[in-house]
Amino acid sequence: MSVERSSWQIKNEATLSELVQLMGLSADEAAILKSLQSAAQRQAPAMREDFYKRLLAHPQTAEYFSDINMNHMYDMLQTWFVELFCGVYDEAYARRRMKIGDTHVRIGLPVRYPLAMLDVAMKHAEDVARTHAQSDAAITAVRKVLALDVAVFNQAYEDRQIQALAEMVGNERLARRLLAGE
Amino acid sequence: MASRQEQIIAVIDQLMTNTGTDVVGAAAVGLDGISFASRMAADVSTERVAAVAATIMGVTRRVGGELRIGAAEEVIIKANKGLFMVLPAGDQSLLAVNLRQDANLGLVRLEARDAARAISQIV
Repeated sequence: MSVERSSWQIKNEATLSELVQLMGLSADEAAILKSLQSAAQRQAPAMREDFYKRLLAHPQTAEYFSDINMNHMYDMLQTWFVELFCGVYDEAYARRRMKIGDTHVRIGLPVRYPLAMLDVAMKHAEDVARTHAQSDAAITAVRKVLALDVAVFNQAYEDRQIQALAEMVGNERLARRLLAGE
Repeated sequence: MASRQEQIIAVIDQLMTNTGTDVVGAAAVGLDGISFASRMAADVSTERVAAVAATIMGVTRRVGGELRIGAAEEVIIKANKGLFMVLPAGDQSLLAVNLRQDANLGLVRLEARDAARAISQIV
């Protein structure tokens, strides 16, 4: 990996605009998602219930919620879900999503948990999408924005690893080479 | 005119000549761990040594910063079968030197500093 990759220069909020372009998330798809925001609002409590039912039943994930104000967590999760349907996937959206990924990193939550929980969100998001007159297009669109979240969550972990290692060894490119196992 | 790599190799060769058999390998390395040029034994991975040398110097600089003891001038690792030395060669590169166990460390340090200075001017 001695070659400098242009993808390494894309950082922070710019990663989301890059991914929107990569995935071909169109203005029409964004409009479809926006039109579903009220439906998402109605679906959010059911999603929240399924989500936390699973998380709290698993000892390793439940321990992250001891001494936590669960009402605040419920609100945040529902907001996160409804925002999938905000219709504007710009830098401000990227910042909000990245903040969630950063929080996961900061509390030491292994990345497998947020990723494994996305199927709950996926099911409910698709339920919302099915209420649209163009349900197939809506499902395609909702899968794209959820995939964006998967990418952003993963990127938060990778960014933190590279940043920590680069600070230690004094060079980001060297840190990338070390993480690549060279 | 000799290429940059050839010039660095000439410096490394001079270092090896001036230190007799004490230096068994040397490499000029970027701060990103990429080797510019090297003379290493066939069974040694120059790429890995270069990455390790840059890592050692990076961590050493971090230690120097944390302890406020100034800029790192050299790092020497003494093992039971040899020694490994890394020193800055200007702002953007390093010189990594592999020594045999009973090497004359004083002489090698002097020669290595000269070599590092020469490499910094080439890089």
